[in-house]
Amino acid sequence: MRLLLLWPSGFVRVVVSGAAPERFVNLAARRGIPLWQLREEGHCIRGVMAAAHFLRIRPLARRSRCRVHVQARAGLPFVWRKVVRRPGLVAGALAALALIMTAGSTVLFVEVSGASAGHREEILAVAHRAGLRPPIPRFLLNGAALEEEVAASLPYVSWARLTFQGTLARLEVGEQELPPPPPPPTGPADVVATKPGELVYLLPLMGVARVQAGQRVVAGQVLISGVIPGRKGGEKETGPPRLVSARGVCLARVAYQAVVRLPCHEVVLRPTGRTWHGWVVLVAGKEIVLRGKVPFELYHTSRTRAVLGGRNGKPAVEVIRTTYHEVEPVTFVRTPGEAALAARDKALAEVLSQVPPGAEREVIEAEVEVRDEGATARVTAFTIEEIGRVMPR
Amino acid sequence: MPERRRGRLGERVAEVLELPREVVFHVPRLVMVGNLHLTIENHRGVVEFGRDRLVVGLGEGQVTVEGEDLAIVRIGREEMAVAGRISCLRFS
Repeated sequence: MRLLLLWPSGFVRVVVSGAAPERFVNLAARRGIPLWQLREEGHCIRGVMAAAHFLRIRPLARRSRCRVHVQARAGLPFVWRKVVRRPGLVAGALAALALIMTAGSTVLFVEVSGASAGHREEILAVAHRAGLRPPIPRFLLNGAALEEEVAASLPYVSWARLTFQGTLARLEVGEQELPPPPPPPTGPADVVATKPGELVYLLPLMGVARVQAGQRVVAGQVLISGVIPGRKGGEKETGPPRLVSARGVCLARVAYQAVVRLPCHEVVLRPTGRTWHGWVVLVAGKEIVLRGKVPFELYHTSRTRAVLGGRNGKPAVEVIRTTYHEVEPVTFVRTPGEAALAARDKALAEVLSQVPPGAEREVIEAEVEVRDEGATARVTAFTIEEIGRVMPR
Repeated sequence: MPERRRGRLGERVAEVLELPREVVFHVPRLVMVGNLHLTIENHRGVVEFGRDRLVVGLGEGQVTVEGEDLAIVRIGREEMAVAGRISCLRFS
């Protein structure tokens, strides 16, 4: 342990020989030169002393009529002297270290766990699109963004987590296990409208109709009631009502609408293709900006984080690379006619995205208002669809 | 004041004030850990050193340490540590 503490400053193993080596030991101790691990070996004393003290022992050796031989040298100063004499060795060691660190922090393999066999290829494809393309240095990967991308792109993935083990990137996913559809209520229930519309066809299979075809209904309104008034002895005499689970077909005309306004002169920000990287290091809550002055006036940003060490979820060092994508303002000039067409197409696309997949499209109406400064398109799509849903009373 | 009377006075003061004797009289202090380790404070140097015998000078007299495979772990101006299998400790 003592020698370990002496290693940074260096130490020498010496052999003291002569008529009275004990006298040398006493003189050294009295002069404040400590000696360690002294052993007598055949009229000599072997021991260890600090390298800095070795230059002070010559008068002591002369006075005690002893000879002091250096048997071995050890410690950082001696190692450093050897290293400085061999620059090629140092360069080789540094290159090897850099190679090991680079190879060790590069993702070469990707593994997906937690997904069913049929979904693995699709998950890998999404991860590939999000940047997980081996070989890639680990610090270039934005793990959080990749996890979000995988979870958002695939409907059957509820969460994703990216971990690294050496050169292996393991993408762990949790697939959604959707609960089975609830069984139709067996107790008393009504059929209610799920959205507003104009009822075009109503067929009660069980229960009593509360509305008629051609009538406008609102969301939540009871279409078929599960309460059947009671009768006695074939006469129209009201008894206690009977509660049933209402069933029926309720087709309605439903309208979907989108309004888009497009000016004739529109300013948009277009990427120029030039990028610049800013580096920030977070150490113990302190932010050290290594490269921070952005040379662009207008830009979009994206961030990549690399975490080194840490415990309990707190990183010891966090390296943040912010990529600045330069953008420039570009003015689009359209004629009123072009603005009208573009607004109509955009509104139509918006409307069609609202229509549920099972609905039958009846008619699409488009109304475009053109002015000098721009155009406004109002597109309405009418569908015929089932709007009834069984709701327990 | 004669040396003897001064010694007696110092001894009484140390007794009344409960002071450590090795501090007041500068006498050696020996601490042994089993028979493997011996620390000597306030020594006066090594008189004789061998693998089975070590003689250390004290203020008044000497202490002879006998044993096997004796080694001085550390020796400084006032303190010395000895290791080995110590079998005998003799004051003279």
